[in-house]
Amino acid sequence: MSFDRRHGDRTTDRELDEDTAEDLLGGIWRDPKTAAHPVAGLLAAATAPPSERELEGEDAAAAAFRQARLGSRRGRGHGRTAHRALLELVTAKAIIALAVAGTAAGGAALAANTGHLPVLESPSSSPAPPSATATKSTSPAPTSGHPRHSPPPGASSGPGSQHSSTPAALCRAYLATKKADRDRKPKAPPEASASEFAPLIAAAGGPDKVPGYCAKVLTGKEKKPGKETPKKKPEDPDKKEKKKAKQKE
Amino acid sequence: MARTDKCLSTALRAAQRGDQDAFRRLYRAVQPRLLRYLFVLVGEAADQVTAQTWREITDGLGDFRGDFQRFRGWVTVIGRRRALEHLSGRGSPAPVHAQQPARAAGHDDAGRVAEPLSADAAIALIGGLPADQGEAVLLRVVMGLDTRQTAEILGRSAEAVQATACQGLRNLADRLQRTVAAPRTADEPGAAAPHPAPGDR
Repeated sequence: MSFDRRHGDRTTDRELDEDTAEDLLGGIWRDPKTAAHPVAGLLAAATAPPSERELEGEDAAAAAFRQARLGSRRGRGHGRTAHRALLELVTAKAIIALAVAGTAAGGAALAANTGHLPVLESPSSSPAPPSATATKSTSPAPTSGHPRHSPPPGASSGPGSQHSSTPAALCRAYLATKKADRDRKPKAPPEASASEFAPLIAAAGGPDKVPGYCAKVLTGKEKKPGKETPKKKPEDPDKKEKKKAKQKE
Repeated sequence: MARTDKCLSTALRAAQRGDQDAFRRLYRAVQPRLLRYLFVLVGEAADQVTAQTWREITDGLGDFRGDFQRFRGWVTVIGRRRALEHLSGRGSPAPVHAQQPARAAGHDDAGRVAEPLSADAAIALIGGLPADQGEAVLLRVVMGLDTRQTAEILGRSAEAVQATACQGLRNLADRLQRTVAAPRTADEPGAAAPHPAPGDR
């Protein structure tokens, strides 16, 4: 758009009042007089459509755009992957927990039969029973590896369960510990043995549920020490039977 | 203009989602004006400075929030900062104000006066204004910013920026008048009469 120089001789048109100036600055030419003003022509020229030369950098800019997108997508992809991995981990844990809980609730016998709690075989639980490896080979009384534990009478388990991480063995150790603690001082902090029995607690579905869980596990094979677990069912197996059961084992 | 802005706001959002064609639309809408503005600031280095500016834009595009009008402002801020860095690194002032007015159109002969003013010539005329006036006009007209955006970028009040931009326009009108009138003096003395432009205070 060229400005019209025929207006050059009309000085009134060349003067810029505030409104015209603002219209020109804002690119809004409401008044034909504004559009006809020489400055309008100049501003139109200043904002004229681009020449090819002015767009020479388009491909380079588009390449930079692609690169930036790629980078951000890769970054975001990492995040997504990590997030998904985290989700999968959590899900897997939940599934294991559910499976274990199911075992604890309804399948104590199953756990006892297989001899091992699934959760005990996970690496994270390996430090829990430190005596396990030491006693795994031959020692018939694995749980006695804990000096402070009064060795449960029937700890010497049968051929298939010399492993201290059997539910029964752990339960015995747990109950023995509880008893010992209670005997020494009633307020004994349970944290001392908490880590050891973490797998057991996990399998039971909570610290509160361990006695009940152990009751089920042990009654599957033997009588459990009834009085030590107040929460358990009052089936109250006598200790003689318990000893017999242990020896069978 | 408003419709164009709407389309470009849409393109902006698409580009932020990774649409390269939309990004190209943005580039074609913004780059010529950015180049013209920065040419006034840094002269021939404007190509290089705009390239740097676009790299920064592409890096930050995903995090940018706003419509196309805000995008204009954002681009301007980046481009201006890059230009000032360029100038400070070189230790020299903007070269254009001194050089470009000589290239203004309409100076040669009566035959060419009637030709449309080229973009380069128009930018050169604006670049020939006092620096604050020239930049205010460029930001408002060429970069398409509103008074508030311009004031923010220049670090001045909106009123001051408005006054400066108007001053720049009056000054331009006067310069145009003189430029255009010069070859016509013989024919139309009235038009050539020296006009005490209010912008020259």
